[in-house]
Amino acid sequence: MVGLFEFLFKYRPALFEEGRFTFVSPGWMQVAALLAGALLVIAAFTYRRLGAGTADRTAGADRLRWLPPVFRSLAIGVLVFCLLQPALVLSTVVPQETFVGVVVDDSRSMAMPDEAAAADGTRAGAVLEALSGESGSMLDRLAERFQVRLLAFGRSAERIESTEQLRFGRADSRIGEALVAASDELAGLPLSGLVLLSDGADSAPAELGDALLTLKAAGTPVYTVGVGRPRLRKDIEVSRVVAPRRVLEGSTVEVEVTLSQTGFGGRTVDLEVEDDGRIVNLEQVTFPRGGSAVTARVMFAANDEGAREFRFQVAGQPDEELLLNNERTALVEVLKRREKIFFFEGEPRDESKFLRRAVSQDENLHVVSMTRQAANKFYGMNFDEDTRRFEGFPTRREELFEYSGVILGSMEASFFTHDQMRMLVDFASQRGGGVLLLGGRRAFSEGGFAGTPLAELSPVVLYDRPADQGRPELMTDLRIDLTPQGRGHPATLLRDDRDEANELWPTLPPLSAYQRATELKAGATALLQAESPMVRDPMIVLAHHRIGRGRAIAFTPHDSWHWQMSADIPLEDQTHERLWRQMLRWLVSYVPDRIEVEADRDRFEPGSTVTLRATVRDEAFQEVNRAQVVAAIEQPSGEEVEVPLDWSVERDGEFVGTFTARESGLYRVEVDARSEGELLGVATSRFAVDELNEELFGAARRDSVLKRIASETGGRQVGLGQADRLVEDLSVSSEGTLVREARDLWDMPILFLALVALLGGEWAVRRRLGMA
Amino acid sequence: MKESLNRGRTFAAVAGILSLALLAGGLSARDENWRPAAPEVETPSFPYSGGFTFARIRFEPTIWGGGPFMWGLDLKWNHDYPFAEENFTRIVDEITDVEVQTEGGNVLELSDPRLFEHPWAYLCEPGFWNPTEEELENLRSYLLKGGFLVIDDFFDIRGYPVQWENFERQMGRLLPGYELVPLTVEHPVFRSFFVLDDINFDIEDARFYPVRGRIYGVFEDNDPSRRLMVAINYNMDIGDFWEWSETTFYPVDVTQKGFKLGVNYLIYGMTH
Repeated sequence: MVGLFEFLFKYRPALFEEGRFTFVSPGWMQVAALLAGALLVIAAFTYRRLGAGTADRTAGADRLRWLPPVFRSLAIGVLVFCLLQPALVLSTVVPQETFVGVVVDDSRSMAMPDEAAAADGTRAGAVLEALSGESGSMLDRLAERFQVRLLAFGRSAERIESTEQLRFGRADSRIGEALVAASDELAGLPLSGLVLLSDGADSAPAELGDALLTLKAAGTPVYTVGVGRPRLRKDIEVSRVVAPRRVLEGSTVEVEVTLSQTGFGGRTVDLEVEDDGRIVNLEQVTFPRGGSAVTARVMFAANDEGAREFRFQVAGQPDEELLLNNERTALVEVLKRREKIFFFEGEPRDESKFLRRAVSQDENLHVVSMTRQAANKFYGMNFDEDTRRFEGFPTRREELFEYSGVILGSMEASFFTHDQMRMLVDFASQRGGGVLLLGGRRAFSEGGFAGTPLAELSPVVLYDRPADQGRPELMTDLRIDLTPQGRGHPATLLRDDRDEANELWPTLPPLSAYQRATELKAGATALLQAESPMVRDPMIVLAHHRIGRGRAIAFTPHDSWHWQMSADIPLEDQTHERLWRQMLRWLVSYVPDRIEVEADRDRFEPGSTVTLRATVRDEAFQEVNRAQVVAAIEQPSGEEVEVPLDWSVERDGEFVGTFTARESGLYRVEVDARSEGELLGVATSRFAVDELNEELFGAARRDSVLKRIASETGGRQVGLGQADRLVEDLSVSSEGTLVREARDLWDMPILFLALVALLGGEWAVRRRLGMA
Repeated sequence: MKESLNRGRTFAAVAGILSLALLAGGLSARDENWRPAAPEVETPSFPYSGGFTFARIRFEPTIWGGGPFMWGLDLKWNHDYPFAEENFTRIVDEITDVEVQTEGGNVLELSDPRLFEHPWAYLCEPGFWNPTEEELENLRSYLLKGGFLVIDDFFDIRGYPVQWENFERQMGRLLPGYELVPLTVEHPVFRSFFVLDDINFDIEDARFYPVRGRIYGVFEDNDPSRRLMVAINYNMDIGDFWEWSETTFYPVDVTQKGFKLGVNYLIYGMTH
């Protein structure tokens, strides 16, 4: 398209955009206009006379009569336009007085063999040939008009004297930082612009936008030259791994792994999960035929305490172009600690006994229970020296908020004061805790939750049930099965094998429930449901939704203990134990601590700046801004560095500090938060420093990046073999030492073609009318 | 006359000895596990209600006969039935928040799968208990899965622990290697609802056996710090206290204590 434009109009659209249109000889204008007017009058007169003398007039001939004068007039107009000497005024650089920085990507991804233009087929080869090849090299062409400075970049840009210094072996390629560094390097010189030769693979953690703003402010246009193919022919890539940063020991870890591919549609590959060289899961993933990416949900048990590096990899396929992007690692901290859960039960019943019994052997869960045995008579269990004692339900936030989760059994809403109900909602929404609502004769609608703050917690829609309706009816023989969302969910995965787990549910003994829960609230998800002859729609058995920072879960059956006691369940069966262990771990997963610290990512390149963010809250989980927060960082060598963290001002309770991680290996951060000398708490976190090869992911040429850099800085994207065009674009840049130059437009081919077409058209019409 | 009398006595003696010998021979020729079959009797059955339903264990006793119990039969397992559970469940309903079936209770054999719908069960007169292997297997599974069993109402005269020995033997078959641990008043079961400072249920009255009652326990994994699975009232009969609570047959304080202990057993069983 651009080529056609250039053929017709003599110059590329870019030059028309840069330049200003003018007529070089304005003195001719009046004479030319008079002449043109006179010619038009003569022409009109001639045609009128000719028409009157024609004997055989027809209707068709009448319609065409006006055309010849129009064609003739336009042809004269074109000639007049040419006589006026139209021109394009451009600001061009003064030869050898301005500078151009040529910034070459020197990273490993440039060794990719996907550039047909090069003799050796690599991107690097193509760049070298284009820059300093024998025929019309880019550097030579640029040097004809500019002072050229050559720079190579990986993490940052450095001056090099010749292309021989390029190695194409750097592990990183941070385009934004490199361009800013190059602009700084050439600051103070009349700079026409930078030429970036890259595949667009940017491994920088920071958004490119900041760097582009800096370049724009400095008035440095960047002309980008892309190398490589915009799409690899055959490649599989582990493009994304989303894993939790922390899990409890023995928990099922759920990780989302996105695999991208080109050329392998329909193929089934093995996705392996390794923990310290040991395969902990193997998932078969089939790529869709039409699409390119697929996201697999992988689950495995995290049984070993400490910081674990889980590796997710797909074995290289025989004909694959790039194998280094077939794996990624995720750092997961497996914690051995006891999450505290408060179980408040409204009546002694087998369900609560068996639930507590199911998790009693789990060292990571500490269930403290308070059971109402009779009116105003409570029985507390499992309180220890770490837990505050209270009678009934807590009345102070500090008492409740020290737990990560709350289980609410069969307890009617009227038992609670309004403040207690509000506090329970705040426990989820503000403290970020998990609330599990169990079914029972006094729970949900049957317990009068509707219209109270407790209704906010319920993921199922509640209805008003007057208290004088008596004991609710028990629905029995509920056969429970998974919903589509429940298949493969970590809470419902009762067997290691996912298919086996899915098939297990309908075979479990039927349960019963008092709750007629058939409608989900907006935003809630059901994981389990059951059919009952007593209700028309499927009954919701397990559902959850988010409430502010936290989460609420509803489990409506009244007697899951049958899955432990039933005569059909073998003694050694662990289904019931596993269900409740998983459920309670899910309940308290991602529940924030009072003091928390996190690095901005879990893995960094050596030399990276690590930003540490700590959140500090008091016992009632109110953010604290006036605190002294210090991070002690234990480096892989064992050496410890202290970094003070300061209040970020942007958010309450947030403290930030930075640290440069030079050593490779695993780092441990321990944050100590104090207020007026008193210890508020400590928190720990880990991160890893390693060569990440980020640029090998999404390794095809990234035109979107290159285009964005060019358009946001006022530059342009050009092809590898378009050195002439590049020189021309740089020459008419508004930067550098400039001179005005007028370029003729009267000889544009379009004008000649227009003239020929108009005169030819006139002749044809006249011939048709018999006037030729 | 005297001679004929003597001859007659001699004949009677010989005949008696022969009869005894024959009886002994006949008895010894039987299967070791032979027991006289108790009559089949119908008991009401309550369907699963979602709440607590009293479960009484029915078994074939080693000896049975007529007696002052239900249906005029002494089947051993039916001692105090059905008044004991009727009175007990009414008390439970009155003073606790437990959802309870107050019309009576279910009577279940150990081989009945419905036993597993009742995680709290009651068995009396284990001195006459001789369960089959299938019954033992079921009960073992029931207890290890989380069921709670109260054993009540068996007595021995001091120095002749016949009933205890049978009970101990059957428990050895049920849970080999598990110990019968004497419980002290400090155990949580005596604080699970009522705080019992005294667990002496002996009655100093000439009408009753001069026995010394004792409560034993069998613990999960044989570890007294863990869950109590079986509570054993030896030389005690709290079911009797429940049964006769509407009369003045037993002193009021002991009757009250009997109910308290029963409620504590129930609450403990439903919370531990």
